Amino acid sequence: MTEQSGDDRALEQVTGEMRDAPSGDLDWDRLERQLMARVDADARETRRSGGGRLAVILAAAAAVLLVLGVGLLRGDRAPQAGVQPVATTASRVFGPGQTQIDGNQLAGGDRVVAEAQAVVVSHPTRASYTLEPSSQATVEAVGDVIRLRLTQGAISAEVVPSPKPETFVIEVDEARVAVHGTAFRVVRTERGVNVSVSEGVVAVGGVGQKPSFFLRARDSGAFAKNGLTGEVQRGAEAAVEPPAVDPKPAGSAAAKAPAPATPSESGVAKALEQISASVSRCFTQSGAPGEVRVQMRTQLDVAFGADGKPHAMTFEPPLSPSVLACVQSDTAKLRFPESARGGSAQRSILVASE
Amino acid sequence: MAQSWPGVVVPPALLVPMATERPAQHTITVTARTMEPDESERLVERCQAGDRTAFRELFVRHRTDVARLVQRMTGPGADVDDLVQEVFFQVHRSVKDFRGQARFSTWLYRVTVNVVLMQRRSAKSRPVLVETPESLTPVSSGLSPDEDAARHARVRAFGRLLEQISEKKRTVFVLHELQGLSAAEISEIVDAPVLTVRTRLFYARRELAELLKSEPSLAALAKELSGTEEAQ
Repeated sequence: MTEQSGDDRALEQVTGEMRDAPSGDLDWDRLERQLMARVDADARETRRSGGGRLAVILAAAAAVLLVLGVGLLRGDRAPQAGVQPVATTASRVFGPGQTQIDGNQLAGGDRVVAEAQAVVVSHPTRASYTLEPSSQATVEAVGDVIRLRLTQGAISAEVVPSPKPETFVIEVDEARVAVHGTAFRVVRTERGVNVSVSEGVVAVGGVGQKPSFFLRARDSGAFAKNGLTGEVQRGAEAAVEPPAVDPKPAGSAAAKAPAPATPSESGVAKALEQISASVSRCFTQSGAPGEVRVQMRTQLDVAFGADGKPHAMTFEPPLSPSVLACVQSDTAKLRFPESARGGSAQRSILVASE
Repeated sequence: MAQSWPGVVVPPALLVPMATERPAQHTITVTARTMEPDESERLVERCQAGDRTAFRELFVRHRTDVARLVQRMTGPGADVDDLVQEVFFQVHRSVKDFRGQARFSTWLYRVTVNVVLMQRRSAKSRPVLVETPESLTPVSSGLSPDEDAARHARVRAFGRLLEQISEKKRTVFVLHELQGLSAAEISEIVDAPVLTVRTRLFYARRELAELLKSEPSLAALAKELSGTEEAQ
């Protein structure tokens, strides 16, 4: 017979030998004692967090306000060189002197503090996150959704994919970063929050609101403290693409209804310019807060019909439905020159609010 | 030697005569798994109602199976105690969500696999000290010292080979070949179609058979078995 047959038989034999190998001796009594102690502690914690939910929320709110107050007094520089734990009476503090924390020991209201060394918190089967040196976070919830409030520094997280809409949330001020099945990093900065995604999809928005941004693998973004506004860098290409339009809003010129395109060699460029201006105007109109300047880059891909009308106009990342509807309305009368009809064009568009 | 076969449900009709009529050396130890669904389901219901004693009983009943799976899925240096504890802690936290869609043991294996995979992923970034997987070390089984040592070396070598195949293939191989679970059960545990499970198993076997050559003790065994066959 062949050598392969010997391999197969050897595989079968050694598999059987491994199957028959007795389990190593475990100290079952000790294991049981530890397990039951953990179970009892968890039950107590659940009762505590359930019965005192209001107290915990108030304590967490107080902690956040205190952190914000401290941040403002210090010019809100982050990450700080040293960690100044916030004094609260209702929360427990984990982290100092530890590098590994079992996430199941945490309950709402607890704080995790990383001083000189990073602290890794593991929620087996769900997520693990690393609080980077000189960082602090408050645990807001550890139920179906793990929710943290990053009060200082940075967190890197790896979240196990789940069919649930979101299983892991990090809040920074009023910004909310929600994920399901991904690896990403969140940094609290002077002006808001930076998010970089290495795997999966991350949604960024305001607390209690629908997401305003979706970041994919290799994307990064800087967002305001309210999470509603910010700038997203798409992968590597975004960094080298020159802005297609002036970052300033189109203003009054863009507010005008677009005029029919002139059939010339620059007709396509002019038509694209009009679409860009429309995107800027609609984006500005969409209601970004006046005191925060917002930038957004999107890739336009437009095909022209035989009649010169733009159709199959797509934006990547997509525009919000209201902005898209506004742009479509704006450009309904737009016509591409005859020479370009039946073709398509792409353009990177950078828009900004005031 | 008494044997238990985790994952293999022996019909009671077969068990009774075997236990009474066969010689002592062929006695089959009936593990907790054969007592499903009645016992475990009753315990699960009591757990869901907050009965601490029932949870403890579930732990005692299933801990050996869980420990064995953990040992087989983890590489050298894994802290089996901690992982077993983590599995049952997760069971305690999630048992209220168990609705009996699958057998309890299938669900328990799913939790176990998830805990182990999570641990392995988080350990990837940490340095691993290569040491003997004591948990897979066979103890004396009545063989001669030489045979015992050779067997010992083969099991250790095979543990190293298992580390070299992909996580998905290793999981399926361990669940099927070592834990004795069916493709349908594994399909529920790893959340993949049965056909995918079979495919992973096929490639796992093929890769392992190929990898045998890289381990002297296993290559020698293959050569010996090949020679035996040729002689026959």
